[in-house]
Amino acid sequence: MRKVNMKTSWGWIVILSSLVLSACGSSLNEKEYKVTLVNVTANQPLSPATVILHKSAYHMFQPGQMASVALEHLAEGGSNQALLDEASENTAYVKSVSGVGIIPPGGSETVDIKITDTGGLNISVATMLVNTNDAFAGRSSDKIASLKEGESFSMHVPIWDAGTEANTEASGSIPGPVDGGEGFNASRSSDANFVAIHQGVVTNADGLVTSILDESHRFNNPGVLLRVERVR
Amino acid sequence: MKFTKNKIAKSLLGSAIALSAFTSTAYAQKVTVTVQNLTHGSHFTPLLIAAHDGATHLFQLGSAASASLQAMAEGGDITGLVADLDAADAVHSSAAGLLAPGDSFTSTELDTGSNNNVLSIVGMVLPTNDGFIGVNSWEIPSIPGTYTMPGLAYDAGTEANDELLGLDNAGALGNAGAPGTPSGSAGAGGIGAASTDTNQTVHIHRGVLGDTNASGGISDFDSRVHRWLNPVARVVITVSE
Repeated sequence: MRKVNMKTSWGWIVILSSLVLSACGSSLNEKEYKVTLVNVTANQPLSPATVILHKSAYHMFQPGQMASVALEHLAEGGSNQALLDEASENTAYVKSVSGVGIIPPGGSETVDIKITDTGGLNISVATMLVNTNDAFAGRSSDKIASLKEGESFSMHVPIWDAGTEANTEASGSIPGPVDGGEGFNASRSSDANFVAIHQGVVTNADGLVTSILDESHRFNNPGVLLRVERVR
Repeated sequence: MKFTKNKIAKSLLGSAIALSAFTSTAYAQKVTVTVQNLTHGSHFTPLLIAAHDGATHLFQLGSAASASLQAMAEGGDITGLVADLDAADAVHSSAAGLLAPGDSFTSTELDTGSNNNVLSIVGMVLPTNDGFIGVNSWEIPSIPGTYTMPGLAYDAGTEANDELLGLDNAGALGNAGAPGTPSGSAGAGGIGAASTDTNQTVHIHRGVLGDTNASGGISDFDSRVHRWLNPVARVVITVSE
């Protein structure tokens, strides 16, 4: 009997389904993916989803490294335009799509991407937890090149701190519905200035009296369930 | 801004992807599951471990909990889920009692037959209002071996996380309050940590809040004892032919 060990260093892994494929005569090299994000937080609406397909040379973000200004726009203000623009100018860029709107807690959105490329395909996704200073759920550079037609996989999306804005939780500093405060601010002097797993929010229910957040805004990993299905 | 390659980043996330290379096959396998409680101060109510078909779900993220799941998540009662599984011709194994911090429970050997090639696990986390440890429809690989995965804490979305103890019949369906703290450190007299659930679908549990006031405060749970972060369980699955 053959033994197989699957180690999970970070644990954010779930394998769900691989569907039996039904052959169909697709045109030359055209591939189609359906990408679904489910908001599994308690009370953190998510900014419009950012989904980017690319080759290995592009990195949306890397833990321990400084966030790009484009990612800062997403993490602090929920706007993904700069991130989409930045990616499209990268030589490793293949295609991207933006979700149409806010994904509420318990809600989901599925986007459809068609490409005619390509080997070495990677996917990156990001979305802001809008009732925070600069938290985002994201995955950077997951390989999907070996995904066959009819197959899918699901993954947990961790919640990161962009490191570009101090987590004051103060009134006026959070763009989401709890506050309606400031989004993007170019200054980074108040925070660590590298991307790391988010330590969570403190909230006014746990002693931070100046926090605009309450206990419902707390979160635990993962923040999003991501499903990628290759339909063609 | 130019990024440089980062080996640490690779090791952090590189293994987190697992393409589903296992195709569905229609032959029987034998599956044994061990679940270890990784919390330091919380118990799991009797675990239910089931192999079922792909059309059956004990719960689905982003969807409202069934009444059977609600009964398990609010009071540890798995009889409804067992009946649901029996109706779907699933196979299952359940624990006889509570699983204490650090302890493990191993299922009986489950024979998947021709259809039951999907694994799910549930058990309530005590103390919570409607929190449970879960594994959600994991496709049992066709390749024999030993597989390890994290068990996460979910919120059924059916009851406000007030974190209050001592309320009448708190574990019953729809009744407010948490049914107990087997590990001790129970407080009393809290005013309630929450009054509503914004997300009323099954979602990732935001964690226990608690406080350090044993005779008042907002919660009857102890923030020094009853908190946890994901993953709250280690799940080891042995698959043989």
